[in-house]
Amino acid sequence: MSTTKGTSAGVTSDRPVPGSTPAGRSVLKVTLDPGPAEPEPTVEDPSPDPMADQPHETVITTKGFSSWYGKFQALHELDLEIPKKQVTALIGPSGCGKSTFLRWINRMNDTISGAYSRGEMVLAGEDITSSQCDVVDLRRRVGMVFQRPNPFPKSIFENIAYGARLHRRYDRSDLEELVEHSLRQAAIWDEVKDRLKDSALGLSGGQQQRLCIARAIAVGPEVLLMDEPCSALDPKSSAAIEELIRGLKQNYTIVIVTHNMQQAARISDRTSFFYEGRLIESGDTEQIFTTPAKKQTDDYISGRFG
Amino acid sequence: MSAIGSRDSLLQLTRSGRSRSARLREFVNRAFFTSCLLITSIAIIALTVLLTTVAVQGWDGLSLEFLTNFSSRNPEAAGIKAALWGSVWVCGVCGLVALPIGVGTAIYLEEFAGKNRLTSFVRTNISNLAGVPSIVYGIIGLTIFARMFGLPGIGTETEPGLTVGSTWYDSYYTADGGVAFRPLESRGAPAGAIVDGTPLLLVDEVDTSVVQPRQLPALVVADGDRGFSVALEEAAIPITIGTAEEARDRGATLAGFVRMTESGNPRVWDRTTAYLTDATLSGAVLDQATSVEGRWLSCEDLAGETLFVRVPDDRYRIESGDRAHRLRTVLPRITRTQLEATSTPERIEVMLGEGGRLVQGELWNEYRVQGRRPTRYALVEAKAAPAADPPPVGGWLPVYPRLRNEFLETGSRTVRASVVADDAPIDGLPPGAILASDAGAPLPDQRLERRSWYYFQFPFGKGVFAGGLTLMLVILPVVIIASVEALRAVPNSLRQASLAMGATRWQTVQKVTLPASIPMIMTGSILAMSRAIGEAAPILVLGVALFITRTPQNLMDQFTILPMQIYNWAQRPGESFQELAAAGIIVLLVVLLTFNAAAILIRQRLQSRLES
Repeated sequence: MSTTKGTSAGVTSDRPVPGSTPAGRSVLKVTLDPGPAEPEPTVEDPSPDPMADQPHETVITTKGFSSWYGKFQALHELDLEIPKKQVTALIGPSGCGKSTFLRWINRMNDTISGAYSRGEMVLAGEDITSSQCDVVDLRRRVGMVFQRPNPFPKSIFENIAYGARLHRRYDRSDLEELVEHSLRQAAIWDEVKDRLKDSALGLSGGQQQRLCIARAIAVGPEVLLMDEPCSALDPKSSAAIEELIRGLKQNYTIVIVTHNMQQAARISDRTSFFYEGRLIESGDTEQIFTTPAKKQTDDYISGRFG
Repeated sequence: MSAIGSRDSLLQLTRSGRSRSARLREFVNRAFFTSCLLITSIAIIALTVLLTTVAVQGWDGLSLEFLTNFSSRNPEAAGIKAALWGSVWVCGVCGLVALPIGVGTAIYLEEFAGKNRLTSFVRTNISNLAGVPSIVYGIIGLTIFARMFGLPGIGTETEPGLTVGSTWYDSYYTADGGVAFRPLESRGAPAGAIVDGTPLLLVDEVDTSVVQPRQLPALVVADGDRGFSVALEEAAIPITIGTAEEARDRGATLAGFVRMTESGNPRVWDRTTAYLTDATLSGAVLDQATSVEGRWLSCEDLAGETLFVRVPDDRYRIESGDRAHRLRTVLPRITRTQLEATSTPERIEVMLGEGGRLVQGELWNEYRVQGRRPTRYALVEAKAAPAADPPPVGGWLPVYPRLRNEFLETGSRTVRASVVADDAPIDGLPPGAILASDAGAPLPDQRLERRSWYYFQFPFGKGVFAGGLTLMLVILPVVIIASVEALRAVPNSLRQASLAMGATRWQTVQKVTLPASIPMIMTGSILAMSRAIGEAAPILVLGVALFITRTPQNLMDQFTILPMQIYNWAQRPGESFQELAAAGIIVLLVVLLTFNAAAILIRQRLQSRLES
C-alpha cells in the first residue's frame, strides 16, 4: 500500500507492528494521584525513557504552517517539531488552534468545507499537506483518538477488526490474533476477553475510550493523535488512559491535546503552548512547567488566565 | 456594592407580580386536558364508524373466490384477483426502482456532495417535489415512460420500435378446415396463404368465451381469399362477392344495404354474422334481410366496398343486441336441426379450457360448462365417424384437456387463445399451433403475438413497468427525504472515527453509516411504499384499462390496481357493486396494514441486532 509513494520509503521498516509488544508489558507500575498534583513531571515519570538522553529523531516538522477556516485564520506561521516515540502535549485555552493543528496532522480537516492551509508539514520526509499525499494511507499511518469515546455500534471484536480490514485481507486466525494484541496493548484485554461478541456500546466510558485506542493501533499507525482523550471520563478512567499512554510511547509517537495541565505535566515529554493560533512556546515539559521562557506561558500554566 | 444591590432588587422582582389563583390554574389545566380527550375521541369514533361500515358492507363479499376471481360484469362472479396482482406487480417495480435510486441519492447528498449552491438547490427541490400532487407525476409518467416523448424513430406504445421476447404467429387453414396459427419467421414476414376453404364456425357465448365447432353446421365459411360461404345444415351456401352489375347478371335482386361492423378488422365471423346480428347494422336493412329468401343481398363493408350476398332462406333469426343472446338462440337451433336432418352417426368431441366442467345435456349438442362463471372455453368438434359407431346421444362426451389457455396479442389488443399442448397434439395440427381464439379476436387473416415472461418493449407503453416507474416518481422524494434524515441521524463521530482510520468515504458509508441508518431508511421507505399502494391518480392519468380479467404476464403487460378497481365498482349503480367496493377496501387495508407491520418488524429486528 505504501509502496506507491517514494517519499515514505524509509518509514516502512521502523513502523511498529501492532501487537508485537508482549502482552501486558506496556502497562507500567505507576502510582498516580488523580487529584490535583504539583507539576513535577520528572519526579512522577517512573520509567525514564531509555532514549531520553539521546537526541530524538523528529517525525513531524512544520515550517511556517498557517491554516484557515474560510476567512478565519486559525493558525499563524507555526514552526514545530514533534520527536519520535515521545509524548508531545499541546496546551492552551479553548479556541487557540491546538485541535486544528492536531487535525491537520492526519488531514481530518479535509472533511470541513472551507478549511485550507499554507506552509509545510512534513511527516517522514513527505509533505502531507500536498494534494499528492494519499490521505487514506496518511490516516492509516497517523491514527486518532477523539474527545468522546466513539465505538461503532458493533461487537467489540468487530470494532477492532474494522480498521484492519479496511486496508488488508486477513485470515480469521490472524485477525483474532491482531484483535487480541491490540486489546492487550490498550490494556483492556482482561476486561473484555470473555465478551468479544458483545456490543461495544455496553462498555463503560473509560473502557470505550481504551477500546478506541485499541482500534486506532490495530491499523498499525506510527503516530497517535489524541484530542482531549480524557475530558469525557471520570478521574479513575483518566488515570487508566494516562497509564496506557505512557506505555504506548515505547512504540508510538503520541501527540495529545489536553486542557488538564497536570495531565500534560504527568505524561508528556514535550509541551507546546498555543495561544490565539500562535505557538507561544515549545520545549521539554519539565522546562515549560518549571521555567517557562514566556510570561504568557507562565500565566497560563499557573492558572492566571485561560 | 452594586452587585449586592442588584441581588436585592432581583429578589424583590421575583416576588413583585400578583399571585395567580391556584384554582383557576388547575381549572384551565383540566379544561385543556378534557378538550384534548374529546377531540381525540371524536377522531377515533369517526374512524371506527367508517371502518365498521366498510367491514359490515364488505364482509359478505369477502371470500376466497373474491380473491381468486377476476372482475366481471356479473357482481356475483366478480373478484379482485387482477387488481391485487396488478398492485403487487406495480408496487414491486416501484419499490425495486425507487429504493436504490432514493437511498443512493440520499447517500450522495449526505455523504459525498459538498455544500454548494447546486446541492442546496437540489435539496430544496426534493423537499418541494414531495409536495407535488401525484396526478402531476401521472402526466410525467405518461409522457416519459409510456410514450418516451413520442420521439420520432422509436416507435409508439402499440408499435414499439424495440421488442424483446415476442413471437409472431401467422394464420393458416389446416387440412381439415380449421384455422390455426403457426410461428412466423419474423415479425414482418408475409401472411401465410389460406390453404383451404372448408366450413368453420366461430361463435362466442358470454363475452369471454369461445366456442369453435369445426365441420358442424357452420355459419361462416371462408372460401378462397375473397369470397365467403354461409354454411347451413346440408350444404355450404356460397356468398359471392362482386359488383352490383355482376349481381344483376346472375338475376339477383338488390334487397338493400347492410353495413359492416365498426371494427375495421376483416374478421370472418364478424363479417358474416355482423350484418345479421350486430347492433350497428341499420334496422331497415335487417328487416329486409329477414324477409329475403334465396335472394341476393347487397351489403357494404367499412371500406365502402359493396358486397352481394345471397341469402338462402329465413332460417337466420336476426338478433339484435348482445352476442351472448345470439348464440343461445341460434346455435342450439341449428345443431338440433342438423341432428334431425342427418342420419349419419357422428362423434362429437368437446374440449375444455381451464376451469369448468362439462355437463352433458339431454341432446348431445346442448352443452354448458358449469362453474362460478357460467360458461367458459369450450371447443366443439364434430367428426364423421364410422357408420358402425352408435350415436353418442345420452353418453358421455370425451373431454380433451389438451388446450392450454394463453394470452396473445393481436397488435392492438389482448385475446385469449387455446394452444394445442406440445405433448398432446390434435389431429391435423402441428405441436405448438394455436387453435381457438377469444371472442371477436384473431381470425384467419390476423397475426398473433405471443409474449414470453421477459417480454420487453421500448417505449414501455401503458404496462406494469410504466406504472411502476410513475409511482416511483411519486414516492422517490419521500424515500430520499427519509433516507437523508436517517443518514443525518448517524452520529458524526462514527464517520470521523472511520475516516481517521484511513477508511475511504465509501467504506465508511458501506460499513458504518448505512448499517446504522438502515432501520430508519427501511421504515421511511416502507411507509412510502404503502402510499404507493393506495395511489390511484397517477395510474388513472396513465390511462390503464379498467376492465381486466387476467394477471400481468410480463413487465409490459396491461394491469389494473386495487384503488382503481375499487373506484370502478364504487361508481356503478346497484347494491352488489357497493359491496364489492367495500370488500375491495378491506383487501386494500389488509395489504396496507401488512406493509406497516413489516416496516415495524424490520426496524425492530435490525435495531436489536445493532444494539445488542
